[in-house]
Amino acid sequence: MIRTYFLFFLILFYSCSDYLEIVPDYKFPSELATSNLDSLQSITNGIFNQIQSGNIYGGGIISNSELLSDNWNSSPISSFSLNQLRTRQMNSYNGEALGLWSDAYRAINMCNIVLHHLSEHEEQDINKANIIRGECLFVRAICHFELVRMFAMPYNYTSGNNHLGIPIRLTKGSATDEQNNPRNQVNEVYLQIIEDLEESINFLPSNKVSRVSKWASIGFLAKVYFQMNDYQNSLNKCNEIIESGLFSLNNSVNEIYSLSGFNFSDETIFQIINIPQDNSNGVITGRLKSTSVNYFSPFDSLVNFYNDDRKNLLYTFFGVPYLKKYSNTSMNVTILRLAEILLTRAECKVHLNYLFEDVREDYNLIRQRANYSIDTSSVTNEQLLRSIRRERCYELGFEGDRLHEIRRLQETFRTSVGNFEWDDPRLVYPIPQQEMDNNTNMIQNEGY
Amino acid sequence: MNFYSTLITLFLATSITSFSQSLISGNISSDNGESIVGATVFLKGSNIGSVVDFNGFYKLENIPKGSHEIVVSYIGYNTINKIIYCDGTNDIIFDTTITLDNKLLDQVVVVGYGTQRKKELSSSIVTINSEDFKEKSNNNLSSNLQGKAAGVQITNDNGVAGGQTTIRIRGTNTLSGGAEPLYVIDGVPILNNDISDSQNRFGYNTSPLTLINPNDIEEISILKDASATSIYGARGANGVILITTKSGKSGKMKINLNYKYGVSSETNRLKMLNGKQYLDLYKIAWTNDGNDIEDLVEINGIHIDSISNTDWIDEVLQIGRFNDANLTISGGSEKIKYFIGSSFKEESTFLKGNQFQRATIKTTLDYKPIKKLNIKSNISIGSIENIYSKTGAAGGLGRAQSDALPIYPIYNNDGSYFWWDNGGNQNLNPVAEINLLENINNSIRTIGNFNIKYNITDNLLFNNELSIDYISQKEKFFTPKEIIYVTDSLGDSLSFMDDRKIRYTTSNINSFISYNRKIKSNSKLSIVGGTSLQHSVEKYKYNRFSGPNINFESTKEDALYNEISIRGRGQEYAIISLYSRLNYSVNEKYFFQTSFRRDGSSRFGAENKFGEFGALSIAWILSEENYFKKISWLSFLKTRLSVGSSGNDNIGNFNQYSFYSPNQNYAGQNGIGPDNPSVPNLKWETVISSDIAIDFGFFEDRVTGTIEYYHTNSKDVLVSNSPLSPSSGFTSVTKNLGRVESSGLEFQITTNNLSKLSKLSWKTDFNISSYRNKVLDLGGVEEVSGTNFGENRAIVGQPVGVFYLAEFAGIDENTGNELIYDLEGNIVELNATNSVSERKVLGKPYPDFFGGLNNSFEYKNFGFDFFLIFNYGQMIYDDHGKRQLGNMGFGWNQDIRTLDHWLEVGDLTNVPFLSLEQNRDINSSRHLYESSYIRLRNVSFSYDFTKFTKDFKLSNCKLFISAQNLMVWTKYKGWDPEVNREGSGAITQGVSYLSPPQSKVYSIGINLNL
Repeated sequence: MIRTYFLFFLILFYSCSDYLEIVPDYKFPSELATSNLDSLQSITNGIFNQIQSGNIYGGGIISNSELLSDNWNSSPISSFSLNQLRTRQMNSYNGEALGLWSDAYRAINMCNIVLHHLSEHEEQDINKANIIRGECLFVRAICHFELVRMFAMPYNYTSGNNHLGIPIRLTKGSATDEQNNPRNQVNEVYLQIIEDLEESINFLPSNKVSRVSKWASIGFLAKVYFQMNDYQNSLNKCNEIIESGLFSLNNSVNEIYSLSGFNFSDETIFQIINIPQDNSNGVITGRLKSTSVNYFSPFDSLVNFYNDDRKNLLYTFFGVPYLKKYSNTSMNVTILRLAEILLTRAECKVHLNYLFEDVREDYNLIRQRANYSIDTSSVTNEQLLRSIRRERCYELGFEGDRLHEIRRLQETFRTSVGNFEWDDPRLVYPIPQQEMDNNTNMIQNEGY
Repeated sequence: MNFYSTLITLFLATSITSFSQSLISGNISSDNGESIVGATVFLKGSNIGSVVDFNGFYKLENIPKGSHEIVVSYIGYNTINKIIYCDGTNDIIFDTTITLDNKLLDQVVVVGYGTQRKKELSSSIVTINSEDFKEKSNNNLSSNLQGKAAGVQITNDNGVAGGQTTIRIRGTNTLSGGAEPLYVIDGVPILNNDISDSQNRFGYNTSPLTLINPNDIEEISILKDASATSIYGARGANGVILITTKSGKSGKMKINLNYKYGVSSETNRLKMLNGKQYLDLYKIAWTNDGNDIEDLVEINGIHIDSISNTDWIDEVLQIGRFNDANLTISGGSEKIKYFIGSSFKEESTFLKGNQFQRATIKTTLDYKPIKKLNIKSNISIGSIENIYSKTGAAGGLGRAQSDALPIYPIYNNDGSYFWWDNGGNQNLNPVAEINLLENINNSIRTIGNFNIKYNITDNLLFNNELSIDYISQKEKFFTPKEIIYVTDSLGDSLSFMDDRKIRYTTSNINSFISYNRKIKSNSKLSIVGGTSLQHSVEKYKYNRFSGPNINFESTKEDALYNEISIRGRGQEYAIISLYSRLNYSVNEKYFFQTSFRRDGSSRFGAENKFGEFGALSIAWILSEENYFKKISWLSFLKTRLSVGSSGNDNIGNFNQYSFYSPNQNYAGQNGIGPDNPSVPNLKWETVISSDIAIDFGFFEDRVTGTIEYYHTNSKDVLVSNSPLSPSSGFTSVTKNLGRVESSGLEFQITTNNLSKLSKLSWKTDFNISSYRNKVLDLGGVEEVSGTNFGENRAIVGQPVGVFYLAEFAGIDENTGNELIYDLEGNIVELNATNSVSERKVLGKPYPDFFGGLNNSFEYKNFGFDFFLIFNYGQMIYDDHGKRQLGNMGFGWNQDIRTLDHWLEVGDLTNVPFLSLEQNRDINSSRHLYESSYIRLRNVSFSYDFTKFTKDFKLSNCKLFISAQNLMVWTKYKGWDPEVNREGSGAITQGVSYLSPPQSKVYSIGINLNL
C-alpha cells in the first residue's frame, strides 16, 4: 500500500517539470527580440525612448550643463545630486552622473545590438533597414558626444587631445564580457563620433520631418566640428543645411517652446517628440520652469533690452529675473535648430575671415526675428565675435549650450559659488562609483 | 484561589497552635510507587492544607467534624478529589496514588505537515498562544510576536495603518534575496510581499498580512533550526511561521464577544525651527556666505517682511482612534464542529488622512461522517479599505519636516493653497495634499482550505489539502488639477487618475500520508511523506488617464486622454515538491528525526531546476534517566542536536532569463528594450545550519526554559544589484556568488515567581538572544551596496549591512567646518570626495542582543501585565539628518538643534557654520547614532467581573485597559529608535529617512464569553 502511494507521488512529481517553465507573457525573450526586422524596429523605438529619458534629452543633460555654467542662479535644491552640481562639489555617487552614464551607454548598447543583427534581416525590407541603421549610428554618435562632453576634460585641453575621454562602445555587451572597457582618448572619441555621423547620412531620409533626418546628422557634425574649433568643416556642414533651403527661422521666438507632438517647425532640425503618453520633458520643464537667472550672466542682460522679444521669455520677481521659456509642459524638447546653425556659421565665418557683411547677415536674421534692431556697427573680428556670442547667449540661453561654449572658448566665468576656469576639474562629472567598482580598467577623473 | 491564602495562614499558625481534635495523614505516591514530594493536599472550602514532605507524607490537623472533600494536586498530574467523613475524634489515614496528566506532557506543537508532542521535539520551535496577544491592537499579526521568542527580531517599520513589520528569524543570512520568513496558515503557504504601490507613492510599505484578522489566530509556531525548516525546503531558510487559526471544539456552543476602543498618537515629535528662527538662521547663513544682508529680500518667493510661522508637523498630525469588534461562535459534537468568526475594525491613525477599515469573516467546519474520515473546510475572507496618506520621502509628515519651510503660509491670501513644487510640477504643500489627493486601496483576501483525512488503516493516514489564497487589490490614486501643473496642448489643466488593479492567486495542492507504528513495546516510528504543488499568478490592469474634468469616480471612458492602459499577467511562480520525515523514539527518552525535501521552482535557472534539502536531529530526555531522577529540583532536562540544510528561493521571478520589456515607446510607436542578461545557472540560496540546545524545567516546572546555540553557513547567496559596469549597457545582474556565516545564542525562561499557594500569582517570561553574522565571500567583489542609499554595505569579513561612512571628527572650532578622520587617522575637512574615499566600517544595524521581558500578575480578579522589549548595540543612520541639521543650503527646515551652530572661533558644537553655498548634503558618521532602546511595549490592567454577571449566564467577563508603546528609553535623538526605511532590503537596515514614528496607543476593551 505504502509503496503504491510513493510511486504515485513520484510519477506526479516527475511528470510536472513543465509546470516550472514559466515565462512572463509581457516580455520577449532575447532571441525573439532580435529575430526579425520588425522587432529590431521596436528596439530602435526603444532607443529613442531611452534618449528621451530624464537623464538625457528629457532634460537632464540640458538643465545640468546650465547648472554647472553661469546662467542658472540656483537657490539650494532639495536633491542630493543637483545640490552637488550647484555647489560644484560632486562625488562619484552623484546620481545625475550615474544616470547619464548608464542611460547613454544603455542606448549605445541597444544601438549596437540592432546594428549587430541588422544585416541578418535587412533583406526583409532594405529601405526600412537603412533607416534603422542610420538612426542607430546617429544615436550612438550623439550619445558618445554627450558623454565625452560631460565626463572628460574639454576638447583642446591637451594639444593632441590625447587626454582621457570615455570608452567607445561599438559591440553589444553582456553579463560576462565587456565589463572592463578602458577609456579612449578624446581625439579617438571625436573621430568615432564623426565617422558614425558621416556614415549615418548615407542611410537617413532627407525628408526633414523624419524622426531623424540626414539634416540632423549633418547638423550634429557642425556642432561636433565647432566644439573642436574646426571652423572649416563646421562651416561646410552649416552651409549644407542652410543651402538645402528646407529650413527657415520661425516667425516668433515662442514657437519653438510650445511645439508638441509630431509637429516640426520651420526651424527644427532635431527634436525629441513629446506626446501626453510619454510626458518626457518633465525634467526640463520641472527644473527650468521658473529658474532664477544669474544677474552677472551674459544671458541676464537680456532683461534690459526692452524691445527684444526674447525678453518675454523672462519675468522678474523682486528684481530677480526668472526664466519662463519652459512653461508649456506639453512641449517637445528641441535639440538642434536653425538658429544655432546660423550662429555657428557666423562664428566660423569670422575665423575664416569672411567679409563682415556676410557674417552679420547670419546673426542679424536672428535679431530681426526677435524684433531687435539689426547690427550695423560691428566690423572688426573682435566686434563681430562679441556680437555673435552675445546673440548666442540670448538665443540659446538655458538650452544646454553655455557650458560647452565656455569650454570651447576657454573662458573664466562667475557663478554664485565663485569663479571657475573653463578646465576646472570640478565641472567634469565623476566616473560613477559603480563603474569604478566593476571595471578594472577605469580611471577616475581628477579630483574624485 | 482562597485555599492558597488559607494555607499561608495555616503555615504561620501551625507553630503556635495545638488545639487539635482530629487529623488526616497519609502517603501520596505516583503510579510507579514514587513519592510525590511537593504535592498539595487540602480540604476544599476550608483553610486547612498541607504539602507532601520528602518522605511522601502529609498531615492535616484541626479537622472539624463532618464531611470534607479532600483535594490532592500536583503539577503535571491528575487532581484527585475524595469525600472523607471525619467524626472529630479519630485520626484518619488517607493514602493515594496520583497519575500523570498526559494532557500537559502531551502538549502538542504544530510542525511542518503535522503535529508533534512538545516533549518529543528534537528541533527548535517556539510556540506563541493567542492568549499572549489578545489584548493587543495591532493590525499586523506578526507585530504581536515582538519580543516573545528568542532569536526572532521584529521591527514595526512605523505606525502607519496597514504598515509592514520586518521579521528576522536568527538574523540575516542573505544579501539580495528576501530575508522574511515563510508564512504558512493552516498548512497553506501565503503571500507576504507588498503588492501595492504604497512604497513608491506614499513612502511606506504595506503588508497583505493586515488582511488577516489577528483575533482568528489560535497559535503560532516559529520554526527556527534546519531540523524544523528543512521540510519546507527551498523556502525554509529564513525560518517558517506556522499559523493555526481557531476552529470549533466539541461541546456546548461558545460565544465570544470582544470589543476594543483606542486612541493613538505619535510616540515622539521632532522639534523643528519656527518661522522666525528659520529666518534668523537664513540671515546668518546669508551673511556667512559673504552676502550683504541688505540684499536679502526674499526666500523662495517669500518676502522676508511677510514670513509666516507654520508648524507643519502639527498640521499633518492628529489624535488617531480606532474601534475593533470581534464576535466568534464555536462548538459542535464529535461529528461536526464549527467555528464562525467575524470582526470589524476601523482606524484613523495619527497621520492626518490615513485611515484603515477591515471586515473579516471566517468559518471553519469540521465533519466526521464516519470514523475513518474527516473533512474540514476553512475559509476566511478579509476586506480592507486603506486610505493612504503620504509620509516619509513621499510627502505628508516627511514633507512637513523637510521642504515645507515654516516661513511658508498654508494658504494664500485669497484662500487658495500656497504652492511650491521643487521643479516637479506638483504642489508639495502637505496640507493641500492631504485635503486634495484621494488615494484608496480596496482589497479583499480570501484564504480557503479544504482538507480530507482518511484513515486507511489504524496506522496509516491519508491527508489531502486543496487551498487557495486570493487577493484582489484595487488602488485608485487621484491627483486633481489643483495640485498638479500639467496642461494639454489646448492649455487646459489636467487632473490625473491612476487605476491599478491586481489579482493575485495562489493555489496549492498538498497530499501526504502519515504512518505511525509501535515497534516492540518501547519504540515508536512515524513517517510522513507527500508531495505538493503550488502556483501563484498575478494579473494586473493598469489605467492612467487624465482630463480637465475628471474626478475620483471617473472611469477611463470619461477621460479626455487615455495615457496608459495595460493589462496582463505579472508575477508568476510555481513550485513542486516532494517531502518526507521520519521520527523514531525509544523509551520516550531518545528521539531521532530525519527529513528530506526535493523542490523544483520556476525561479531557478535551466541548469538548476531542482534542489534537495535534508536534516537530521536527535534529542535525549536526560531527566528520564535514573541518575537525574534523583535530583529533586530538576523536573525536566532535555538536550537536542540538529544539523541540516534549507533554501531561500526569494530570488525574484524570471531573473534567470534575459528579456526585452515592452512599453519603452517613443512618440506612440511601440518600443522594447533589454532588461538584463540571462543567468541560466541561477539557483536558490542554501543555508546549512546546526543547532544545540538544552530544554530544562526546575522546581516542578515552576521554572522552564531553553538555552540554545546555533551556527549557519549560507552559500550561493544571491548578489543582485551589483557587478556590472554600466558602460557595458547593463547595470546589474543577479548571481549566486556570496557566502555568509552566522551564529547566535538564545536564552528563554519562564518562571512562576511565587508559590502556587500564594494569592498573588506572578509569572515572568524573559528571553534574550544575540547573533553575529559575517560576509565570507561576494564572488570576487569586495563590497556590495544596499538598495538605493549608499550607507549600508556587505563587505567581505564584516557583518551584513554595516554602516560604511567617513568618521566624523567634530566641527573645526576655528572654521566651523565638518571634520573627519581620514584612513590614516589624520583630521581633515570633510568634502564630497573624501566622504567617499575615507569611508570605513563604523557599526552595524542589528543589535548585539535583544529580547523581551513580560511580567504578569494576577490577584483575585485583577490582572496586571507589563511587557518590555529591548535592543542593545545597534546603530541608526539618520539619512535625513544630514539635511536637517546645519544644512541651510539644502532648502529644508532644520532641526531645532541647528540653533547650536558654529558661529565664531572657539565654538564647540556638532553643527557646522551655516551656509547656503556649502554642500553639506554629505554622508558622514555625524548622522550615525547608537540606537539601543528599552521600550515599554505594553502595559495592561484587567478586571474579571464574571462573579457579578452570573445572572446573565456569562461564563467569563473581563474588562481591560492597555497602553502600547507608552515609554521608550533611548539616546537616539530622531523620531523613534524602532524604524525601518521603506523599501529596505537584506543589506539596507537601520536607516531612517523622514520615516514616521511608531504609534502610542491607549485602549480599553471588554471580553465576554457566553
